Amino acid sequence: MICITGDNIISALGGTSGENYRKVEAGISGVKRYSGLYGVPEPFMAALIDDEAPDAAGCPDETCSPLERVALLSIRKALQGVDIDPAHPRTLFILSSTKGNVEYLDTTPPGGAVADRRLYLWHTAQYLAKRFGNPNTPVVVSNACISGAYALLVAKRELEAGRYDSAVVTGVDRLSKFIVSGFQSFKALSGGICKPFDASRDGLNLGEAAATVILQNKAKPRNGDIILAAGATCNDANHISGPSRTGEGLYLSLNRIMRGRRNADIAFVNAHGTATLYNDEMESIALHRAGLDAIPVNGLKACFGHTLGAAGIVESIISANALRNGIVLKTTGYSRQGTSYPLPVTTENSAVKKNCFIKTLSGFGGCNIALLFEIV
Amino acid sequence: MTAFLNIQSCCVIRRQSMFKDGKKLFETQLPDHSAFLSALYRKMKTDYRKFFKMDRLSKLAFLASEALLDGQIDRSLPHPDIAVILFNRSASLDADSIFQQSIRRPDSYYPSPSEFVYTLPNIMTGEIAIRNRIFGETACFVGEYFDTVELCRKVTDVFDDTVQECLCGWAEYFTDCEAALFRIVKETEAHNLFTPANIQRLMTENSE
Repeated sequence: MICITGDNIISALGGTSGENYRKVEAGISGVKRYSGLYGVPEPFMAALIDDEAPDAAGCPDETCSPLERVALLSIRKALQGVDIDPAHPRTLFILSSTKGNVEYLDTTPPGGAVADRRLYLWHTAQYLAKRFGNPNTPVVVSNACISGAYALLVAKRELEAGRYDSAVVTGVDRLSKFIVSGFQSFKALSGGICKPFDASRDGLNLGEAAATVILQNKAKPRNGDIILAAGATCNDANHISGPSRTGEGLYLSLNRIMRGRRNADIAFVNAHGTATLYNDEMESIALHRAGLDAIPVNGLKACFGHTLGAAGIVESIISANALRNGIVLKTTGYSRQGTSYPLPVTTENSAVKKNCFIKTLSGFGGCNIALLFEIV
Repeated sequence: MTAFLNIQSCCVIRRQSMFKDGKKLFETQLPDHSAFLSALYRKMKTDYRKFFKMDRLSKLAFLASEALLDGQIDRSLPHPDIAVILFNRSASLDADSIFQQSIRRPDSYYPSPSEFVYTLPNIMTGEIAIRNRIFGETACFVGEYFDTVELCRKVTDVFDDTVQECLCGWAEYFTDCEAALFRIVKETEAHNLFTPANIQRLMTENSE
C-alpha cells in the first residue's frame, strides 16, 4: 500500500508541516496586502513565503532560483527521519509546478528565452534530483491547479507498477509579476482575505508554497499510517477557463474514487474552495450529484492562498494531519452558506472518528481530481 | 479476458509536413510555423471556429488530434472512457513569452485574460477534450526529450477498467514545431502493440 512516510510544507505560515498545521487549526491566515511588489501596478492580497524567516531560509546555493531554493529545503526537511535513500535508483523524484521560474522571462531578451535553461520545468526537476544524487530522470507534472494532487496520483501508479519503492513528490510555485497580473486580468483576485464557499465570496488569494510528500510502497502499513487509497481525474470537456455548470469532471472523479466505498467512512472533503463565485458553485453541484453533500466540507485557501502547483500537496498534508488527530478543520473565511446546493461547510474544528478523507482540486483546461486518503 | 493495448493510428507533424499512418498528407515551406499551422488547418478542411482563438501549441496538438479523431469519434456522445496524455519540452513557454510582452513595460501594461489562459500546457488537452467530448483523464507532462519508454509507462498506467482508449504523445511548440500523436486502444487481440519499439518505428515511418 502507498503510505505517506514523510512530509514538509514551507509556506507563508511556516517552515514545517507541524507549524503549518497548528496555524491552520488556529484559523491563522498568511494572506497580507502587498503594494508595488514585483512592479505590479495595483496592490494585491497574497500569502508569500518570507525568505528571511529562520525556518524558510538557509540552504544557500548560488546557482539556484528562489523557487528551487525552497523546493530543495522542503525536500531536505521531508527526508529527515525517513528511512529512504534519495540517491537510490528505486527512488523517483516528481515535480509539480505550474509556472516554475517564469519570472526570468521578464529579464530574458525576446529571442533569448529558448536558450535559457532556467525557464524549463524539466531543468528545475533535474537540478533538484541531482542535488540529492538521484540517478533517474525526474517526472514533471504541469496540469494547472490540479498538478500537486495529480503528481501524488502519478507517484502512486509508479510505485504500484513496481518500478520504484519510494517517491519524493514536490509541489512548488512562487509568485511573480507574470502570475499576479494574469490572475488580475481575469478579475479573479479578492481585495480581502478570501471566503471559500461563503455567500459574499468575491475571488481568490494567491499564495506561495513548497511542499513535499514522501510516498513508500509498504506491504504492511503500521497503525496510524496514512495511505493514498484511490485517485481519479476527469475533464469537464466544457471550457478552458470556466468551471463546468454541471461539475461533470469532478462528479465523475468523485464517483470513481467512491466505487465500493461507503460515505459513512469519510470524515471530510477537503475541497478546492478557491472562493471564486464559479469554482465553489461548481464544487457544490459535483458533490451534490455524487451524493457526498452531507459530508463535512472544508477549504484552506484563506490560510495559504491558492498555492497553484503546490496546493494539492500542501492541502493533502494538512488534511492528513487532521485525520491523524481525529479533527475536521474549520474553514477560515467562511461564515454564510453561499452555493446553490448547500454544503455542510465547517465553521469550527470538531472531533471525528472516521478513517478517510477526500481531497479535490479543479483547474484551467477543465481538469479535476479527487484523491482518497485512509488511515490504517 | 486478456486485454492488449494496440496503436490504432498515428499522426506526425514535423518540419512543416504532416504524416498519418505512414503517408505524407501535407507539406509546406512557409517562412514561419504560425503560417504553417494556418495552412494545415485549411488543408484539413476543419470547421472549428475556436481554433482561431487558440495559442500555437494548442493549434498544433489540436490539428494532430483532428487527423486521428475527426470522422473516427462520435461527437454526439460523451466519452468518459477516453484519456488524453501529452508530453512536451517547453510547457507553455511560447504563450508565456507572448503574455510577458503584454506586461513588460509599465507604459504598455495590459495583461490580457485570453492570452493568460494559454500560459498552461495542459490547456491543449482541454481543447481536445472540448472538441471531442472527452471526459476522461487529461494530463500534461514535461521532459527534456520525447522519451517513448516514459510515454508507454505513463499511458499504460492510465488504463484502468474505466479507460478504453487514450490519445497520447508529444506536442512541442517553442524550441520547434513538432507533434507525434498516437491513438491507443484496448482490445482483446494483439496486433500493433503499444511498446516503445513500435512507437519508435512509427516515428521513423512517418518522417520521410
